[in-house]
Amino acid sequence: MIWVHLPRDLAQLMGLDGTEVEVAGAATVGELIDALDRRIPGIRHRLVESDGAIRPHVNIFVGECNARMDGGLALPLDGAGEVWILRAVSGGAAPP
Amino acid sequence: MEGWEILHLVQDRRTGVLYAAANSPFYGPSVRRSDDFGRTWDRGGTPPAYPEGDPEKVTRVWHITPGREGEPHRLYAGVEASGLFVSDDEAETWTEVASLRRHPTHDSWWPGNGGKCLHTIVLDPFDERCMFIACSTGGIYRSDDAGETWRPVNRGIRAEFMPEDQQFPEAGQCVHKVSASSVQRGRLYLQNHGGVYRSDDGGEHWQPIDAGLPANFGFPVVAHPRKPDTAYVIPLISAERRRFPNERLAVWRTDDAGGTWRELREGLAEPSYVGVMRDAFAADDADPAGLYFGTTSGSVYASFDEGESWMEVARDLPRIVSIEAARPA
Repeated sequence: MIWVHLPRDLAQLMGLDGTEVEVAGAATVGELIDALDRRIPGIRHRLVESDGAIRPHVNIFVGECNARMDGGLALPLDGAGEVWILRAVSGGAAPP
Repeated sequence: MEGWEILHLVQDRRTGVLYAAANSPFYGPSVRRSDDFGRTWDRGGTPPAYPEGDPEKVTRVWHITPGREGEPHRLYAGVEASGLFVSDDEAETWTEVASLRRHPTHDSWWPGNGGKCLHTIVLDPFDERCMFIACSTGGIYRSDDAGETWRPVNRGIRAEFMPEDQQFPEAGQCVHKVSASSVQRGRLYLQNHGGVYRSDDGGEHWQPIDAGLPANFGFPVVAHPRKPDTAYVIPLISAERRRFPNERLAVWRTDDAGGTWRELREGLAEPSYVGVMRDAFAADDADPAGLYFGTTSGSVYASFDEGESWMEVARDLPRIVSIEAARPA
């Protein structure tokens, strides 16, 4: 089981009570997001662009690895017990 | 929706539902709806997106136009990078009107200061199969078959940022806004990056009508809801400065289809160093017509006598990018 920590505003947008979601059976960040989307329909669109890239101002940390810069959706979870999804400080900038 | 960039907010007159072009710098573009006049908003359906492998991405939704009376669930959305989407399920899912970006002049579209955006969608009030879109840069395009095919209708509109011998291209103009008369077939008013224009034949030909204005730059243009020869613009001093000429906040009205213009500023602040954005000026359908605009400094002004006098009805809001008239549901 993996605990996924979501940004508070994203959790609220998706209608969740808390910010932590438990997900099972994911071996990569991509599979984790697929599993999240089954639990919380629509969350994939908020995290991933149409071409499969993680949105430019979203950081997904597996341990010390930020998936957006290190493997994208293919980054393996390697048995991690938790994953942190965070808003990047760069998000105040205009969209690229 | 706090923290979301709302580029356009519009009421669907058919249902009373509000739709917002809501964009998050973190979570991307969406079209969100409110069934209770803005008290609560849904989370947005599947957002407009170009197909995987497309060289462009949808980064923001700029404009939403509800469909016609006979298309009860239809909405159109204009997006950045410039493209047009249609929804037939009240914004739950979107399909690109792909014929538009397939037009051979698509290569002439470039981002302006605001981005490469499709910001204007006009459904012809007289012909159910005719519609117009405008994008910056790119210009105005017309479809006569409900979006199946498109053609640029920019003849006579100047692209002042091009070399002298190339200033009237087929496409690539920086059109800022288009407003159609709902009472005279074929009449359109257009605010260009430089220049105000009128067409009497649905965009086939354009003539400049800015001779009596203090500046030819500006963003919004509003056709009067019942008087075909009356239109309103809000000129700004230049592309660089984007504020009012002579530090005087003013709306300008023509009552003779652009032959002459009159400055309307009773009740407006002076001096003023602000501007008005392309979707921040609207008319209602009352008689006399109500007019409403918002400034980049967060003031909202209203006129209930067709522009003769104005009152500030809100102030100290954030920068205003969208004003629409709506009725509480």
